[in-house]
Formats: sequence, C-alpha cells, structure tokens
Amino acid sequence: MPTHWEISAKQRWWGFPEMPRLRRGYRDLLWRLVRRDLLTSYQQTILGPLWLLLQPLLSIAAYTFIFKRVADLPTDGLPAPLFYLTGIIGWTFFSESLIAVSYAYHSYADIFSKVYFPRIIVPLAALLHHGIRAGIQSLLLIGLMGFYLLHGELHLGWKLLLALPVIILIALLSLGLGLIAAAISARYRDIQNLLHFLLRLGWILTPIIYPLSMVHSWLRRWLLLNPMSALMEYLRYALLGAGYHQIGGMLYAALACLVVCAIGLMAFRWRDGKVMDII
Amino acid sequence: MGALALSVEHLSKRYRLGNLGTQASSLREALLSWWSTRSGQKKSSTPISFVQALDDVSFTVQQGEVLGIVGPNGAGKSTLLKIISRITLPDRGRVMGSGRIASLLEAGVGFHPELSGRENIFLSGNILGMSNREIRSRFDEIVDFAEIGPFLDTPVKRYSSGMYIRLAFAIGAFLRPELWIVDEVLSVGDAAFQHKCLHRIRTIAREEGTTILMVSHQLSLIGQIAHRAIWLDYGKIAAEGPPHQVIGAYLKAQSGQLWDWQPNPPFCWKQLSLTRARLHPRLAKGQHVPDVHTPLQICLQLRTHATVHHLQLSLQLFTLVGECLFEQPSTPLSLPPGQWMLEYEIPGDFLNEGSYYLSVFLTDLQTGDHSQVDACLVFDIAGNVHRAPFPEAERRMGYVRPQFAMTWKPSENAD
Repeated sequence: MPTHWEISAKQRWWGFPEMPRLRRGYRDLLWRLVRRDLLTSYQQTILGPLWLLLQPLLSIAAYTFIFKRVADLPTDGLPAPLFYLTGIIGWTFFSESLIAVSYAYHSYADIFSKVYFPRIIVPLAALLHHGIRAGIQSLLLIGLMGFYLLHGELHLGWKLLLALPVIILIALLSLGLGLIAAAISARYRDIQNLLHFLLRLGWILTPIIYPLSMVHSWLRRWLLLNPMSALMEYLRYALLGAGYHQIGGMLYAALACLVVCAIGLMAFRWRDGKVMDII
Repeated sequence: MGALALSVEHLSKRYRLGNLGTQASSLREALLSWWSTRSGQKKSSTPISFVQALDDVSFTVQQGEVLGIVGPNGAGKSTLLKIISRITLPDRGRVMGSGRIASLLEAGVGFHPELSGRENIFLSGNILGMSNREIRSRFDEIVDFAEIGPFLDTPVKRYSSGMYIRLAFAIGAFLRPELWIVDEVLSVGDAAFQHKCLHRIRTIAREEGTTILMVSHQLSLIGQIAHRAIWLDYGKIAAEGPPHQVIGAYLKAQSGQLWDWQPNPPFCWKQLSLTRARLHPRLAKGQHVPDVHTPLQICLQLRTHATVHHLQLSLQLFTLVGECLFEQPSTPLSLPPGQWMLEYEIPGDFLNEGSYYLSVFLTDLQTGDHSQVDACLVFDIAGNVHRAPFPEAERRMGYVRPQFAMTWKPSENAD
C-alpha cells in the first residue's frame, strides 16, 4: 500500500505531510475563507463596504474634536487628521485581527468537529481578512497624504519603505498574541473577556491619540516595553516623517514580535491535536 | 480492487468523564484547583472515570470497497470516523491510508447561510480539500445532481431543507476523494433523492474506485450497498463480514430470538386480544435448531370479547434487515366471542438460512382501521450443511429456496 498518510497518537499535526494535490486546495481554502469573511461582513447593511471607510472617517472627526480641540493634545507637528488616521488604521488592524485570530477555535468549532484541514488556515485567513480591510482603509490615508502633500504640509522620503516591515511586524504580533489567546481560550473562555479589557488598556498605553514625544522620558521607557508603542511611532515616522525612531527601541519591538509569534505558533500547534476533545 | 485503501491497527481511544481539576472549564476553577492543591488541601475526591470509546480496533479496507459500520449509539462509530478523518487523535494505534479523504460527517459542513449556492459550493469544496480548479470542473455535475440550477445565486438560508441537503450531498458525491466517509447523511431527503444518492454511491464505488466508509442506523441501506460490514459494540469489533450476516447478528443480539410471545397485558385491539404467539419448529430427532428443511408451525391465540366481523388477519414475515418477505392475509373473518387458535405452517425447504421476524397485521375491512404487532416472533433458520451429501450444493443465495420445475430437453442448434 502506498502510504500517503498515517495517524497515530504521537502524530504532530503540524508536521503532517500534506499531499501536493491537497496543498493547492488548502491555499484556495485560505483565500476562500478570506473572501467569505469579506462578503459576509456587510450583508444586509445599507451602506455595505462603505462602512469600512466611514468608520475611520467618523473616528477622525471625533478624535480631532475631542483630543485636538478640547484636550489640545500635540500631534508631533503633523496635521491632526493624518496623525490620527495612521493610528486608527494601525491599531484597528492590530486589535481586530488579534480578536479574530483568538476566536479561531470557537467560531470554527462546528467545522473543526466535522472535517479536517490544517487548522492554521483559519487564523491566517482572519489575519489576511483584516489586512485587506486595513489595506482598503489605507486608500483613505493615501488620499489624505496626497492632499497634504499638495499643500506642502507633508514631505515624503525613502523612509516610506520602512512602513512595510513595520506593518509585517504588527501582523506577526497580533497573530502571535491571537494564537496564544486562542490556545488558552480553547479551554478557558474567560480569556476572551480579559482580552477585550487588555486591548482597551493597550489603546491607552500605545501612542495613538498622543505622540510618544509628549511623554516624560522615564514613562517613555515603560511605554516602550509595549512593542506596539515603537511600531506605531515608527509607522508614523515612516509615513509622515515625524515620530520616535531610535533603532534600539525598534530592534526590541521586532524581537518581541518574533518571539511572541513563535510562542503563538507553538501554543496553537500544541493545542491543535487535543482541541476537539476539549472544546 | 485488491489494493488496500485503509488500514486501521489497534486503534484505542478513551474519553474522560466527570469533573477534574485539570478539566476545569473556566480559569477560576483552574485557579481554585491549583490553589487548593498548593495549599495542601485535599483534592475533590470525584473519581476519574473513563469511557473506552474504541478498544483495540483493527481492520482493513480494500480500494473501491463499501464498508458499512453498524452498532448501537455510543459504540464508538463516530469516534472511529473522527479519528480516520483526523478530527481527533487516537490514544493508541494507528491508521494508515492513501489518498484524499472527504468526510461527510454532516451534510453541508461549512455552509454559510448568507452566501449564495454558488459561493457555498466553492466554500464547502475548499473545506473538503478541493482546489478551485477541481470544483470548477465538477461544478455543473454538482448543480445538476442537486437540482438547484435556478437558485444558484440565492443565499442558502432561503433554500428549502431538501435543496440544502441535496446540495450538501452533491458536493461530497462529486469530490472524487479516494476515501469517502458518510455518516447518517442519507437519513434525510425524500425517497427519490435517497434513491439517487444510493445510485451515486454505488457508481462512485464501482466506477471511480472510491472507497467508502458509511455509518447508518438504516440497516437496510447498509445491507443494500455495503460490500462488507463491521459491527462495533462497546468500542470493539463484535462481528465483521458480509453485510447481511453482520446486520443479522447485530439485530439478533439486540432483540434475541423469540419463540414464545406472551404479552402481559395481552395486546388488545377493539373487541379482540392477542394473548400468545408461539413457534413450533418440527425438529427432526437430535436436532435443536430449525434449519432450512424444518417445517415451522406458528400458533396464534386470540380471544374475542364480542362478535368480531370483517376482520382480516395478516401474517407478515420480515428479514431482520426489515425487508418484507411475504404477507399472507386471511379471508374476512367473523368470530363469535370466545378463545381462538390460529395454526399456520411454513413448510420446510421454503425459507433459506437467515434471521426472520413475524408481524401480525389486523384490519377491520369495513372501516379500514388497522393495528399491528411488530416482531412478535423472532427466529433463526440455520443452514443445513451437515446432513447434505454435497454441502456446497445446499447453500443458496436469497431468502427463499424454491423448487420450481427445471426441465431438461435435448435441443438442436435452434437460433
């Protein structure tokens, strides 16, 4: 018998030698799930996908009014809408994909209990889905940047290239944290409540509505423990030209992201084989 | 045929039951249990109990074979299918196989109600491991089979349940997996669709070389399409072999043989009560069980409380799989009050070896009212290979052993 696969107790699901014929199917599945999420997220709404652009626009308006006009928080000398929009898109991508990834087991428990495919496809699809949403929202940012560029209030340079690795690091961080949360929440659902709280806390502890430069230097060191702080500052530095950009903080953030992502992948893999007996 | 498609070796799995510290379902419980062990308190003394869902199960399946799995609920059928389709891991043992598995443990896995039929065909197909190209190449067949052509772009939440099931089955049926796992899927849908599905399953196995594992509580279904059957009981294989034998053994174990039926209270219908049914096989000397040559006498005792008119009593003989072998109705009866006994004889050399049950069907011919006593007698007919000079010549297929005249004449080449 040409043995293509074997299932046994010691099986590491991760290392499953998938057949080449299946690999193509699984790649298609990844995109199918992304497509499904995109298609279904605005079913039976009047404005449909327009919400994707409307949400950040409304947020800009609210932020500009509250944090700029009322609270008079500085924006690193950048136009307020640009400053806020970068933060909104970056943070929304981070937090929403983290939440979506953390629900990987629970929202798919029904399918997981009926059919096998490499489970990692689900969190990856969630990440891609939110990545695409962030990409669409970035069109707004590009438009806004173009506007300020024409008015001479913004200068672009080679720094723009830095945005890509920063975005990838944000994705890895949210994937890693989400996978850890998914692995824990497979058994302890409490983690979901905790997660929402932590994300709200994170929103305050990350320089989104304020620049890191306004924070006292002793506090700044603590804030930089949160890798998202450096990443958000770097994102603004890359795109808009102002923000914290010390190489040390960045290296720490990059290392933290990679470690978290690796832990997340291992936790998910460790949970994978047993999850259907627990959930 | 010939090549192994699946090999299951010494497969075991058990599930833990009851409460346990490490099985805490919330963080709070886990922390509490951790705290209590840490601070030296006694752990809650709930005994750990296990359910052995599978216990050292081994079997192999040939390529292109249809294997039926029968057994009562909780016998481990689902666990077995879940391990083979990789949804859960075994504790011990292994499964080896080749080719792609498609498991239809439930119809319509991954269907999203908001999406159209078209989107769902692709979604469900992808989930089952098909690439877009493969799905496109089978798309028309799927739509044809499911008969949903005009509704392709309607969200499936607007589908009737029949359409939904048809579509779900069609996707699985046209996947061309090497191993197809079907669990109770055919218990839904109307008769015409079931027939179509059966036909499709047979075609798949015969022409496309797909190996099929199927679980169903509809034993007649397994009897009809499986090449071989396995009876699982308490996680072990209780019997394995030709479907009718295995199903017969399974049913017999469930019901037992019943030669003398005396219900208490008696079965009452209108002015009539059935008090006893008995089987008297006319056994030869030294014989203990009826065989194919044994005449079987059946006695029914009834009591009428008032005069009964226009009564028709039918005897129906079924195989244990539930197929009716014959029905013999009485002439219309009028019985004055009293005790009555009906004697009926099934001659020897009529029933073939197998397991059978007898039902009694009562009809009031005037009003059309009817009632029945299902399976009041259950019995086995043994094959008779010991008494015969050529044992193999005695063995026959089918349920009955007719002896119609076969005349031999010399003939010239007349064609």
